[in-house]
Amino acid sequence: MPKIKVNGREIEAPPGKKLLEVLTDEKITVPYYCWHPGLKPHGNCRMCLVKVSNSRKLEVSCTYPVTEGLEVTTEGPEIEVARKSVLEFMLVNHPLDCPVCDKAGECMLQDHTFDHRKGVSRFEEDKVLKGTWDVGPKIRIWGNRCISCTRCVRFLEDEVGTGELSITNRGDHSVADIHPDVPVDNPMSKNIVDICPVGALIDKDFMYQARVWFAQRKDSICTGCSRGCNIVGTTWKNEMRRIQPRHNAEVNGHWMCDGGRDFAPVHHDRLAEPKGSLQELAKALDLGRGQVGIVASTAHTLEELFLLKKLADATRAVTGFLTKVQGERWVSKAGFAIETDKTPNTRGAAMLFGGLAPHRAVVDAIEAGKVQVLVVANQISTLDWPADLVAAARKVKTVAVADFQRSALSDAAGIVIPVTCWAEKDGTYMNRDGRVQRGRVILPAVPQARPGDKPGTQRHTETVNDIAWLQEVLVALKARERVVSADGVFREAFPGYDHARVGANGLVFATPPDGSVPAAAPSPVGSK
Amino acid sequence: MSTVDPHHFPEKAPGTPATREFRAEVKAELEALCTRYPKRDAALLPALRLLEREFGTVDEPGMQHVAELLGVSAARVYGIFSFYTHFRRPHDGRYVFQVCSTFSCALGGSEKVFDQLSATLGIEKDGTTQDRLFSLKKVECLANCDMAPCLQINEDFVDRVSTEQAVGLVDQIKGFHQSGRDAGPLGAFHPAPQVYHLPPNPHPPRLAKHLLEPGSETFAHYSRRGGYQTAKNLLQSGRNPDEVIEQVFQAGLRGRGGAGFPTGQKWKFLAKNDKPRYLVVNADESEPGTFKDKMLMERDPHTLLEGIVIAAYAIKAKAAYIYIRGEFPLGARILNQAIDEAYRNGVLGPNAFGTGTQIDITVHRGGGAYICGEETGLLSSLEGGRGHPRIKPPFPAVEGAWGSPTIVNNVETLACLPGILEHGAQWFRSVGTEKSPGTKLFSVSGHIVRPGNYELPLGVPLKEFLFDICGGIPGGKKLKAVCPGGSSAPFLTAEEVLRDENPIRLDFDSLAANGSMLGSGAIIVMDETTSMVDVLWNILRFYAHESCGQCTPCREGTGWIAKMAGRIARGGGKVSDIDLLDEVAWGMVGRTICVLADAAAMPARSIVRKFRPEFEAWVAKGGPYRPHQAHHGKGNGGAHA
Repeated sequence: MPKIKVNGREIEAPPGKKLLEVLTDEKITVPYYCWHPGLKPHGNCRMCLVKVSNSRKLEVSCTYPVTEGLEVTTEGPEIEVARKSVLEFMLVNHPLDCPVCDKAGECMLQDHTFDHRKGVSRFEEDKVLKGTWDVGPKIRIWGNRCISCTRCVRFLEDEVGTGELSITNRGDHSVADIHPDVPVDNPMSKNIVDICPVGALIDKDFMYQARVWFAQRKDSICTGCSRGCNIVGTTWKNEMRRIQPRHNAEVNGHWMCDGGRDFAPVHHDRLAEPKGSLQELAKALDLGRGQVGIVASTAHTLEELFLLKKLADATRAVTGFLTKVQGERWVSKAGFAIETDKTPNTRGAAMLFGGLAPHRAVVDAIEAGKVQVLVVANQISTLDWPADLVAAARKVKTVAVADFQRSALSDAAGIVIPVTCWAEKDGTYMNRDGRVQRGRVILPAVPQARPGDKPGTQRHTETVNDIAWLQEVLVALKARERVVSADGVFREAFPGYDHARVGANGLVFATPPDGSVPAAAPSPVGSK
Repeated sequence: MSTVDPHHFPEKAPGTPATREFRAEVKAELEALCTRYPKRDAALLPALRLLEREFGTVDEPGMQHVAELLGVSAARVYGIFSFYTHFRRPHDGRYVFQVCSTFSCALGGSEKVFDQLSATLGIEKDGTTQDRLFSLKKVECLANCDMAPCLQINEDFVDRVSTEQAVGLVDQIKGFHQSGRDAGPLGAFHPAPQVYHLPPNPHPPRLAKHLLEPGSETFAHYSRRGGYQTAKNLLQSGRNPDEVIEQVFQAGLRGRGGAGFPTGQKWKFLAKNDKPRYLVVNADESEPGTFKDKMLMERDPHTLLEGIVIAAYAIKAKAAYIYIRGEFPLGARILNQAIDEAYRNGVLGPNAFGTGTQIDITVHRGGGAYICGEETGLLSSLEGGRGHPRIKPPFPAVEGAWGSPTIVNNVETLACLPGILEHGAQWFRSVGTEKSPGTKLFSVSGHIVRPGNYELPLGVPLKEFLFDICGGIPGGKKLKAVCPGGSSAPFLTAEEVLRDENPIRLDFDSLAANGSMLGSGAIIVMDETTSMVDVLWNILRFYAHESCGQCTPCREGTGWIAKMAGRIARGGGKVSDIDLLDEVAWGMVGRTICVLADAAAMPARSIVRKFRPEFEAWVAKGGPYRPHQAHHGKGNGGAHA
């Protein structure tokens, strides 16, 4: 590995990396705009200028090759003057409309300006006016804010392969734009909003929704398909406002799809009114042992599925699964895939249940008259409910539904348990590649009642999640001693592992943690 | 498209169809073009030319069609179209009047011609008349500076156009049209035949020897004067190509395009790998004031072709591309004819001179962008992209066109090769100076008695040249300033030019020692009546218009200093603006991928420093009154204009 000297400190640089990458890895701050760790370097913003021993003039570090013995200086009067100057040029035609810009607060231009410049401009001329327009159904551009860094152009060209944007015109009229008849409309388009270093490209769904410094940001993972992209959720006033990708080299790199950003179901048609009580359910299950049907979903967490399995064992239930497989697999030019399995934990469910019986197994049992108590637990959002299940449920004496969205089944059921959705709970999922990742609380749970509460006495502070009610029922059935947290259930299910060990980027079980967990899970449904 | 804000994009031109498709023959023609390049998308600019030829315009559905045919995104085609100024816009009229507004033509009074045309036609810059017969544009240097002011109507040049003549042309076209005759949207209307001239010159010519002989552009004429013998002997001798490189190196030939880099040295930098090598001829002559390559190509294309054959042999390239300015339709036509003749006569092709050596030459027309004269910008454009210069290293000799080792040489540089190979390195060195040997073509324009191309041995004193050979300043006026190497060169004052001890000489080193540069050899002369404030505004407008927009300091800086110069020129300046302009210009130097920023900043700084009293006086009295004019307008007059 070539050794280089940065500000007098010796550093070993991995071969093949450009200078800025090495500096960033070493936590040496060099300001930049056009460089992005997930894109090919371009070297046009001229912000990452540093002094190198091979050259008389300053060089941009993002494209500078690292060679043995290179001496680099990243601070100093000459560099500071150059950065200030580049920033001044950058702001010449910039509208400086931070007060109304959605990027304000997370804008690189704002940050670097704060770091390097006084709040005065020497520019007295008229600015070039470029206007504001939609570049596609989901994205709007503020032409004047554009600094022509070409991140969006490179992303669409090299990563997605659709190339709907190009820099158009030239000189100070340059702006990223589309062909007038071909809008930006692809399944990964909103990534260009995230990578825009300024507020030029704005997600129309987030436009004027929240000031980011008032908003909260929470890490989690996407449950929209079996890939399990790592995400950050932005909330404000207890409502989801935006979902963005979080870097995980093993899963999604820097990107995610537009579908995964759709948070509408989290707030849509929530099931709020409980019916019946958990005691009633426990009693029915106790009496109906051997005549129980349990329908779970492949969107439940590993912890929930572990408990559902326990419940099935305790009641000698016949089990089946709700799944959601949709559309065709979409793969970008650079290989980013959107899976057809629209649930996050198919592989985990198959692992814990030793295979995946379809919901039809339960329907068949009902039709054969073998089911007295039916428990349907669902976590798949906007599920297209199977008609046979809905019809068969009418023949069952006691039907309990645990879901977060209303459905025909929840309307008809005698016992309804409104539960938290993925964004409101902790838990783990196993993606299609066998990686276990943590879903985490982004939002406080929607205030809702627990089954058995008297009207008007809802306990708003307590979340009703599947973990809780399943354990309570198991305790009532004497199949369990106490109620523990999701982490507790995880430790119980996978001895030797806990949520902390799963960490921010997830893990793959190296060997079976104990005999009960098979290392190689059956092939998940709907993924190839 | 309902999802896209309709207000941003201009209304489509009347009669624009929903889709466009080439006829089968044109598709076949495009396919044939594609085979000339290693990658299909390189045929993008030629494809836009086909659109222009077939449909009279390059419009949105046409661009989509080309995108589909070449397998690229529609936005890329659109981005490229909006980068180049020379394509016909959908809203353009049938006759597009393009008034050259760059330096030499401005000195020659092009502003008056433009104003007259604007008044006659009743339209502003970039406007089109109601009947869609005329459009009026200001364009940058048309490389016809000795014939200033120059007007281009569609693809035809009108030399030394007067205001009366311009109005006469409008009437002529109107009459032509009213009588029901239509010359078609492009081309066939020829207001005046191209006239070539070379002013008297006591120095014996090498390159310019045959330029004025009738038929000098034909293969027959070239063969009669012994043409292609050198190349034939070379290829048939099977001489070691490295010896040829060495010979050129020994001759000390320095690049004639502007940088003056030793050609043999450049060739020696070629990466040794098994990738194909390319020779690219830089015929994108667009440095304001330069018009030498145009004449060479139009009058003596075969010398260039022979030079290409020699260079291709020396560097072991099988394919050569001549990247010629979009504004030179005649040059492209003549070169294509010459290439056809050369193929027919066995000079080019898979078996050049019967030796089994493969040499193919393709003419690639640009689209009107100064930056494509920068060698890496040229390569980006050749590959079918926006003409964005690339970061060096890697230099083209290591990683150039399509990632292969590539040599980019200027037209005049290559035209020197037959002579060097025929007569030897010592012959070449027999004139010129030690470090700048040989002769060089100088394009003289501006306030000078005999403008035109002169071939001189390098090292002739500038003063002697201007006053003894070019006839001095017309009208008995005094010299004020000289721009010695195209408008990118720092300016020289009259004192510097006129001083007798240690005179400034026309060679690379003498000019560099005097803080300027030889550049492309374009000498622009300004007499005492010239306002340096106007000159500054003019050249800065040019660079603002021509900045590719890639690097921040250049993209924003060229526009900023141009606006500042404009404000000063219109009488709204302060003394502090002069210093600010100087400072801002300094902030652009050395911080960009290519040297366009420097090319704008260096002359600007030289002007405000050397002529500071004039600026101060101008600012103090608020300058002469002038009506407010738009700055440099809407960029390139692109699709958004």
